[in-house]
Amino acid sequence: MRKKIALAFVLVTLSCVAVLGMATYLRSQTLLKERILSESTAAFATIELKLNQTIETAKEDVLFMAGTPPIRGIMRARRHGGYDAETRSTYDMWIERLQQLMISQLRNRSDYWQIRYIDERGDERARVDNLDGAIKVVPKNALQNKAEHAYFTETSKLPAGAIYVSPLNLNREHGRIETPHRPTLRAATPVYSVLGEQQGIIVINLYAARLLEKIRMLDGQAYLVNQDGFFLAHPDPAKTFGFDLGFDYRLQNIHPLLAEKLHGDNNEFVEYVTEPQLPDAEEHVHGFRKIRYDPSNPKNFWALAFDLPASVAFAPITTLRNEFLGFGLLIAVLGAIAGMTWAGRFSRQAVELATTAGEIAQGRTDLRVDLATKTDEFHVLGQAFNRMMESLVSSESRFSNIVNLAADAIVTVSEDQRILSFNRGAERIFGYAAEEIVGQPLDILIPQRFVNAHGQHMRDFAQEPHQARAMGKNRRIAGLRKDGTEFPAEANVSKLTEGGRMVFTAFLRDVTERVRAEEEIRRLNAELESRVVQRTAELEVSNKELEAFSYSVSHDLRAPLRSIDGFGQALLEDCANRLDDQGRHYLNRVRSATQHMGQLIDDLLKLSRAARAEIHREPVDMTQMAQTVFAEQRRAEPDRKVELQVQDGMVAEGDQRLLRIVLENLLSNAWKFTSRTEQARIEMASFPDGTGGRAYYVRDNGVGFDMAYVDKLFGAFQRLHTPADFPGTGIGLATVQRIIHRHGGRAWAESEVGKGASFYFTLGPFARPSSLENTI
Amino acid sequence: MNMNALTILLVEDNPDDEELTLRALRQNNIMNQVNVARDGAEAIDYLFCQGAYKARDPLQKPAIVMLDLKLPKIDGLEVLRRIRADERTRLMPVVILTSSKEEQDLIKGYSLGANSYIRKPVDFNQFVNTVGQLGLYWLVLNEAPPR
Repeated sequence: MRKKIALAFVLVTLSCVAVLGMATYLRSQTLLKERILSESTAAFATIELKLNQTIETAKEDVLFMAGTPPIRGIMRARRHGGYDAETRSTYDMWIERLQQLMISQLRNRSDYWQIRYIDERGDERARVDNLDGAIKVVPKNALQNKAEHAYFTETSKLPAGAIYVSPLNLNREHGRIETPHRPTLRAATPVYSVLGEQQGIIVINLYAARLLEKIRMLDGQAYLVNQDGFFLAHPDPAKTFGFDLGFDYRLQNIHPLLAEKLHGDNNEFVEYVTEPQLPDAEEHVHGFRKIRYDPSNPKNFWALAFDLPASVAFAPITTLRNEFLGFGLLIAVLGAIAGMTWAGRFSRQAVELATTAGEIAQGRTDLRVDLATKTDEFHVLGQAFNRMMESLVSSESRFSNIVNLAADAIVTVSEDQRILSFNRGAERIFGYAAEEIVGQPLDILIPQRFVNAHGQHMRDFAQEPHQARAMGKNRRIAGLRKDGTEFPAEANVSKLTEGGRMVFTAFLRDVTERVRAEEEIRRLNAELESRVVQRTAELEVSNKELEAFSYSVSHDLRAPLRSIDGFGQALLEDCANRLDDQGRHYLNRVRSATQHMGQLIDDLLKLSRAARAEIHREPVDMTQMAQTVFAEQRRAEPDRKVELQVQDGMVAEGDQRLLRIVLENLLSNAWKFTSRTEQARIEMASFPDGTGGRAYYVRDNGVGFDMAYVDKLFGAFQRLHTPADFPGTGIGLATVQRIIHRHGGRAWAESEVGKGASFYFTLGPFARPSSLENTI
Repeated sequence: MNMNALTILLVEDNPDDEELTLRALRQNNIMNQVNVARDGAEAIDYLFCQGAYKARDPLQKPAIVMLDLKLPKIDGLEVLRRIRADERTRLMPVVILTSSKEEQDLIKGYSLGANSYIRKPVDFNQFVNTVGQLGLYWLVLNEAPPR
């Protein structure tokens, strides 16, 4: 009888354990799989939001840069030959102001390493680098041409206000990949003048290494790939950036199935592969989520991808199954023994255990088997059961660690707007401890006046098809700390459906510091504007004074000279018989000194006029002008034999009158310094200057000069010859240089003593050759 | 008409320039009578026979006015403006003779109706030549406007 009862108990116990155990196992397995899959997605969504936040910030910054006063100033200066009359600033002054703004921007954004202004021909005009914390303005001579780079050509095609985001690649300097590698992402926008001409681009370079580091942290099996499958982040960094470094190693090499899915239209994909097609492959879980970082170019994207063997991904499930099997057996054996003696007690404990397992399967992962009420083998079984639960919980906590490590606040909120979780970042930012705030309505984190609007916003969002979106205008909202103070924040919110319920996750960043920095920049800008206005006024006054001064010089300084010369001459003529040779000699010296001073005054006035005159650009026939000027020289000294050779059809874009002064000076110098040459020869011609304009030169075969003194050549009152050898005032070349600089061009010279000299000049970035010159 | 009956009005405040100009005229054998006004106001009085020149014969008009620009009281450009504004002197030949080669003076001078604009050179020999050519042109070659 007792045997029968015991047998019955054994059978009952066994079937109970078997049925409940099986049900629990199956239910847990499904739940775990769902959870693991949904958690991978959620972790990826976090990274995506982070990437997007960074890119959005860069986009705003690049637009901000493009709209600052220095950019407008530079364009005005360029339009008017290097001088912005509106603010009386030179092109260089505006570049310097732009560099100041770039420096303060770099100081505030540690993940930027470079900001540049590149003109419409691809020449870098202003560039500030932040290389490992050292902010440095790149000097003029180290600026490069970037016309060949995709980010330049692509951005140049965009309309005003549009933004180009480059693919992520390794930075190049002078066409070579920089080492150590610098993974770089660029945000760029074109700048347009008021006339609608494209005037170059603003580019911000983001140092992407830190973003990639975050992806590598994710358990070691996550990758970031681009649209072609090349790795941007890989557990082994040597396998990344194959497209830059010249090796072909892609996602298709290791996960052909996933690579194929990536080509499709799916933005998000997670799959548990139970029947792998490759021989020897095991079951695995893989997936990806695409990140479209450049809205204007949807075929470019990144994908966060992962591929885990099922044995790793579902490790907690395998443990669960093995333990169930092992302990099922044990229970059967125990059941038989227990059935004999404590059948009743055994079956009660077994049922209790099964009930607990059932409740855990309903999602109460905090439940544990109460070991105190379990005896003997049930105690062992309970311990094993609890161990299994710990391993399940730890796989969850891996993800929650990531969430907690984030510096941003991550707050999950239920559908009825109650706080479900509150990470450490949120504790730090809001001042609440997670324990005291979980379960509270979200409203206590929002200033009262925004509560209604926020509620509406969240209800709308729940209805939208989008998975994630920004909160507030420009993602800016106000947060309320525990101590009642408000702070500006940037926030994004995403939604996930968990077991039929909607859960919102808000990612929020305290931007107090950033807002302060922006205000600082705005303040600096305003200060800059007012300084410009003040300087302009000062300059106007000093310019008026200068005009009055030069008028007075022109008129009053010459009058006494005329008297000295005139009366000197009168003395020579009227009192000739009372003067001996010595006296006449002295008088002649007085007269020639007077005339020299007259010449000096005239040249000085020309120099000052060249500095002040407004530049009116128009096509100038340089060939014709050179011939006219030369003909005048010839008329003045008809006895000299000088051969002139002028290239046909030279047409420049510049100020007619000022260019004439340039040619007068250069040709009269050539004329003068060939006066002792047997077969004097003067040549004028042009050649492409390498930036789209032309360089002109006047070459002679005269006495030349020593290149050691070339620096002095263009300075006012600098002469390389004694007046006895060659007369002159030493102002001509200073005037030439002033005029060329006013045009935004460059003047330089080459020579060798006894072998003649060549004087070169360009007319700045706007002096493109006209069509006339092209046809010749 | 006897060429030497034609008179010249020299408006010049600088005594040195006055003497040199007179000397230059003499050296060119221009023996016409030269009346000198030492500021703009005196030039106006002379031309319109008023003030100190009340007694002057208004029909005796200078064949040419040599006008400096920078003058005390009334400047040269204003003198020129009044000459051109008055019916009696509207057609009188006026040559600006000045040190200034400032563009603004040139433009104003011509737009107010100056017949010539001469810059006094520092080199006296050149000055003599210039004055000679002026005299030759305005006193000999040029057909004066009807009186």
